[in-house]
Amino acid sequence: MDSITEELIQLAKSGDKKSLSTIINLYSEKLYGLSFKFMRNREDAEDVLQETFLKMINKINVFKGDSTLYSWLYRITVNTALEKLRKHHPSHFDVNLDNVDYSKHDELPSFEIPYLDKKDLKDLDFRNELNILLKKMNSKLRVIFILRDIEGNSVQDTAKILNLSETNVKVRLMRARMFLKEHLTDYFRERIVS
Amino acid sequence: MKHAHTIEEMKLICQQFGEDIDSEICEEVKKSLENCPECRIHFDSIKKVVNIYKSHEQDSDIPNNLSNRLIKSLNLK
Repeated sequence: MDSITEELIQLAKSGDKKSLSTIINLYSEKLYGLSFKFMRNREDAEDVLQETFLKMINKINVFKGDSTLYSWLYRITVNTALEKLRKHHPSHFDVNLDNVDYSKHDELPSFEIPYLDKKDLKDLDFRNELNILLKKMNSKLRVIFILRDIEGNSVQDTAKILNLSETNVKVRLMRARMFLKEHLTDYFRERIVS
Repeated sequence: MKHAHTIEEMKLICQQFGEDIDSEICEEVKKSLENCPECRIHFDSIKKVVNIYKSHEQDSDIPNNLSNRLIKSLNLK
């Protein structure tokens, strides 16, 4: 990331292909990883990345340098992924996920998810299950879960990136975690019974 | 099993869900749950789920020649 200089950005702004290519070379792998986490498949992740860099080429003129170039591209990647998810799963975006029904939680399970070591985490069936659950999750929740819990952004930053209130981020994060916890509880319970 | 304070305790837990699982504030919540084993199990399970996914999502396989293909498709070559 240190190789991004003001001079390189100015050259990129002037349309210099070599400079634009240098930026792509520097950030494509990292942004691909981010895109893949949202999209869950290689083809869509690459499409998002291509659109992201196309937007970069067209909009780098308006990049003011208030944040790092990487932060700017990070936001573009998130928003491009969201646009694509909205097209793929419009119903995910029609539901209101910002209210919590606490009455659903008046009984708590006595089953605890077991401790897992590295070997368990490499188990292919289990990794498959983890992927299936993330794919099943509402896209609006998945984006929050990835940004906050996996990428480690603060609640405040996540809210800024997605243009949401911090309360909405917290509520959706809670829903995402609950979704995964409930399904993984079922998964482990079934494995233990069988 | 039903717990007398479950809903209130759940609210307390839920309000902290935006925090880091290991943050001081969450540690305090966990301490307050000492008298609610079911809540404790629930909280620990949530923490494990987050940690499981953190490990799982660490490394995605990067497609071969990703940058080159992007550069070509964007007519930068």
